[in-house]
Amino acid sequence: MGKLLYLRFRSMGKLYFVVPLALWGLLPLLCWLSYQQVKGMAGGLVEAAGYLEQMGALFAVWWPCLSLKEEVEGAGSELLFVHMGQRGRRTACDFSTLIWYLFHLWALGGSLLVADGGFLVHLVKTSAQIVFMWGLCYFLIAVLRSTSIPLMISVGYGIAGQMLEEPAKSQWTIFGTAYQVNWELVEHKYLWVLGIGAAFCALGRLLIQRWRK
Amino acid sequence: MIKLDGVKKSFGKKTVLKGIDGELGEGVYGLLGPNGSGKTTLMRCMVGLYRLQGGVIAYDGLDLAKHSEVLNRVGYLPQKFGLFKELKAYNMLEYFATLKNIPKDRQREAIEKSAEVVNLSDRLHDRVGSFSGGMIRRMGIAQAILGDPQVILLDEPTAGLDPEERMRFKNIISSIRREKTILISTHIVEDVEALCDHILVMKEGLIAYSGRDSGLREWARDKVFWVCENANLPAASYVEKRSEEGDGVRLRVLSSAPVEGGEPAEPTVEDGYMTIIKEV
Repeated sequence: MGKLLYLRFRSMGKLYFVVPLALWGLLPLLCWLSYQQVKGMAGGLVEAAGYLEQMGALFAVWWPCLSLKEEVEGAGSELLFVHMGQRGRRTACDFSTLIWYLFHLWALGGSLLVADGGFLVHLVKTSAQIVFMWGLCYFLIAVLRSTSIPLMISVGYGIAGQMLEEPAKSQWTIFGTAYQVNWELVEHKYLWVLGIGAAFCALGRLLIQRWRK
Repeated sequence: MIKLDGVKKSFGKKTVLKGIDGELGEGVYGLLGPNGSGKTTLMRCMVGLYRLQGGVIAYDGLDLAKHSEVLNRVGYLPQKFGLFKELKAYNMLEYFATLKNIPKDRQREAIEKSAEVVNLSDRLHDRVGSFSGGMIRRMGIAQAILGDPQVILLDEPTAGLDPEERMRFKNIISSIRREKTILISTHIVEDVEALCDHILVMKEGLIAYSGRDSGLREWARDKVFWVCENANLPAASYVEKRSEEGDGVRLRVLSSAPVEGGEPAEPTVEDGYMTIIKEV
């Protein structure tokens, strides 16, 4: 199974590196700039938490779309379905992109945010948002049998959500202002976000399994 | 042994397979039929891509619907194949070897063997994206024969190939045919004639003919004629060929009614096939 997952990532070619470049290149750069601007560790960390949310949620949909591209739009997709769909490998293969992405986030977020021990809450919140975005995209791929349209819808939702002003942003989207984040909010809002994201994942999985029947 | 027993498949109100029966043992089988006759649907049913509306497909007595693991013994080349252009040919075959549950320690050997059969050994470390159409088709065959499956299903394997690649394909089939069941779906009669021990003709979702090529030729016995170009042809006749001979031009005609002035010709497999399809 390890080899299968490795080859699946490798089949993305150069486009695989969009996520590592964004997370490990662009995001730390933005955080460093914000530290320079606010000239204070605590303020800088909150800004960094904001960037982590924005970019973390946005790029979460890149790998699932790429990894499923061959199966949805590739010539010979039915061959992959014969081998993947009916033999229980799909779950591990599909969800590997989410798990691998979360590993990136936790490693990066850990080094950016948890350094002072007080920003774990942001990491938990962003993880829930990522599961939601990933699940939404996966569900849309399953429904629309396309990868480009779900990618655009998910990215559109991510950008539009970030552009809304408070309180509409917190009220109607999965996003929020980093300054307002605390464990109580995570408990009341982001557990739901996580649950809905997980439900999207499960539904997407179920629908993809029924393709071509 | 593959057994098809009353296989039915519909899409909405359209019934594509109307009850296919048959047994496929060792040998090369050619599945002939015009576009839309149900060849691809039958192939897809045979690899479990479609749920049947009726009937059973069994491999060595095991019902595919209940035992999807029988597909481990089946190699399949779909009509369209062109995956993983970013991977090297070796990695692509490694991907399929892993999907086919070929043990890790046997994968290299299996990959090299199938690459050798399709004459791609020297291109194993090139990117699939750099391959020509014919080479991608051969890659498709390589993945289908990976792990030495007992059953190989090839859907339109020669479509779009140039004569050289088609010749190469025939050589590949000849080299792997021993002790296997190979089913080749196509509408190119010439390929079937050159390769297959047994011919199945599909028409409107049913098997209209099943047997040897000699049997298929017999369907057109006394229905093929050579006539002059300006001869009067019966209404239900089909011109198959035009041939310039000496001063004049002759036509090869398929007709159920005798053609005036026509000289009877020896029927070919294509004549037999056309006789069935056109109901001559």
